[in-house]
Amino acid sequence: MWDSIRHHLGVGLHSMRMSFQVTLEYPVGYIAWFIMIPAQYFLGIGMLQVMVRSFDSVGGWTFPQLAFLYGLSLLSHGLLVALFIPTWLVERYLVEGAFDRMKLRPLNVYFQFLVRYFNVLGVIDLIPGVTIFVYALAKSGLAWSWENVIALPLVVAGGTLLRAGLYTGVSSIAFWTQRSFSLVGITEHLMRTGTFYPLNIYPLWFGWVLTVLFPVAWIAYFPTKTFLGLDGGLRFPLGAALVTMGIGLCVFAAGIAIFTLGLRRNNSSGS
Amino acid sequence: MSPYWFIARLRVLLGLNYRTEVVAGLCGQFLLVYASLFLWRSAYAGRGEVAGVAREDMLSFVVLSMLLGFAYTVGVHRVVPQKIQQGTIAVDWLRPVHPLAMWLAEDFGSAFSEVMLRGTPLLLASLLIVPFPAAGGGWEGLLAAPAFFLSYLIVWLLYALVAMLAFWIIELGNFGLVVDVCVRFLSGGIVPFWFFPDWAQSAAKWLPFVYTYQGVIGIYLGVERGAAAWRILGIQALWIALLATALAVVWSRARHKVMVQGG
Repeated sequence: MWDSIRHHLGVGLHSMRMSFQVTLEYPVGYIAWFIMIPAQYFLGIGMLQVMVRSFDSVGGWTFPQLAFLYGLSLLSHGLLVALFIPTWLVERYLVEGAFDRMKLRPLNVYFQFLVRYFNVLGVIDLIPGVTIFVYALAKSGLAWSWENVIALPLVVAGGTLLRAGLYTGVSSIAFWTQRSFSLVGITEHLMRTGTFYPLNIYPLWFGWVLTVLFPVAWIAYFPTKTFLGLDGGLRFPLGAALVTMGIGLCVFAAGIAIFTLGLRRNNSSGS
Repeated sequence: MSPYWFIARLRVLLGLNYRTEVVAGLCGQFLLVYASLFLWRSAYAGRGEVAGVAREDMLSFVVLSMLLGFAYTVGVHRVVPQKIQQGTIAVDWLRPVHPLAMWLAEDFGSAFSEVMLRGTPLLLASLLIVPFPAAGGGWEGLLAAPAFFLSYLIVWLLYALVAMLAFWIIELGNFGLVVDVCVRFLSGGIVPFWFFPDWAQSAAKWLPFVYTYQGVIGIYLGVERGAAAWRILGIQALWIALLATALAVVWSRARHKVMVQGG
């Protein structure tokens, strides 16, 4: 058991090191990303600030509350982009025949699929997330109770797993249709729609879609309401943290199940 | 038929080939427009006008901004670096057309295809939520047509200038993304500068971006009327002259930097 875990960790770390070396090979090519990724998120929150300045609040939320929501969402987004970016790429791996090689190796295929590429650039996505969230922590009046200290990392981890599970499931549709990248794009838009803004700005039916059908509202919206004690915030042990973690684990497991089912019916893409 | 017209037409036909991507892209874009419309609706809750902008005008702004987003489809910043990397840029020089004009024609075709295949269905879908964004200010709204044409040229020239960097730095990466962010945000395409503090509005007037999204939509909605509308057209022409001159200078130098390897 321990040997197996150690072996998996070793492979994962080795893959991470190789990804890092590949990134360093052409550093100039990444300058645009270094500028663009933080800029787009900082400008995004800047736009919300301009709106609040003119309208006092958006959906009844003040700017620090919106920043908390936005920052919390970005944290799990950054972790997803760094650690789980292959979950977007089942279509590409199918076309390249990458799964054929993975099946031949004596290692869990989903694990290989995840560690095949560590996205060093994902760390850049974390920069605006951390910055905005630290600002929100200072301004939003979050109570620093031991519950919240435990709950925050749990929410971020649960949100990351939820995202990874959704992307794995959606991306794995390619095992049946050969194509899924455009669906991954829709999922990305859905994530933005459901996690950057308060859910109460949408019609009720759309709120239900984002809570039950594609439960992205659990990534940031419900936890933010609970952490900040906003009207209608849920009351669970450790706030919404355990719920987010629970839903995250379930969605992640469902994603892996769809992936595994798809992998079983997958034939080689050819010689 | 002019070769440039033919090239643009090819791009339109190419766009028709990827139907699944078009439909999926439509769904994703609709989600963003939907979110944006409800965000503004929620912000305006109970208020008819804020910062001199009526609620209906702002909702129309969101829909028109989405349409312009499709119309400003530009690929020159991706195509040129790719051609330089692969060496196929040499083929473009052998063609009996000017490479810059050819890339512009390609992008015109792509933009037309995007507006027809994605923009129009999204416009129709948005009618479920908001009324058709009608032109305000009477006949002066017609000035939005030349303003749009000029704004497209501004956007294209900005991307083309970025594309030229690839002649010097082959592993540049997608630097066009930086322009994407600048055009989208500094143009008032997401939140118009009408809501910004005075200093930001004054600063934006010195940059070309605000004469794209906000300039065109402002004229169409009648927020910019009379002399203000004509002034926007004049400034757009000035920016085009400036950027085109810069592109001509950079192009004349860039041509001597090309090195195609291989036999």
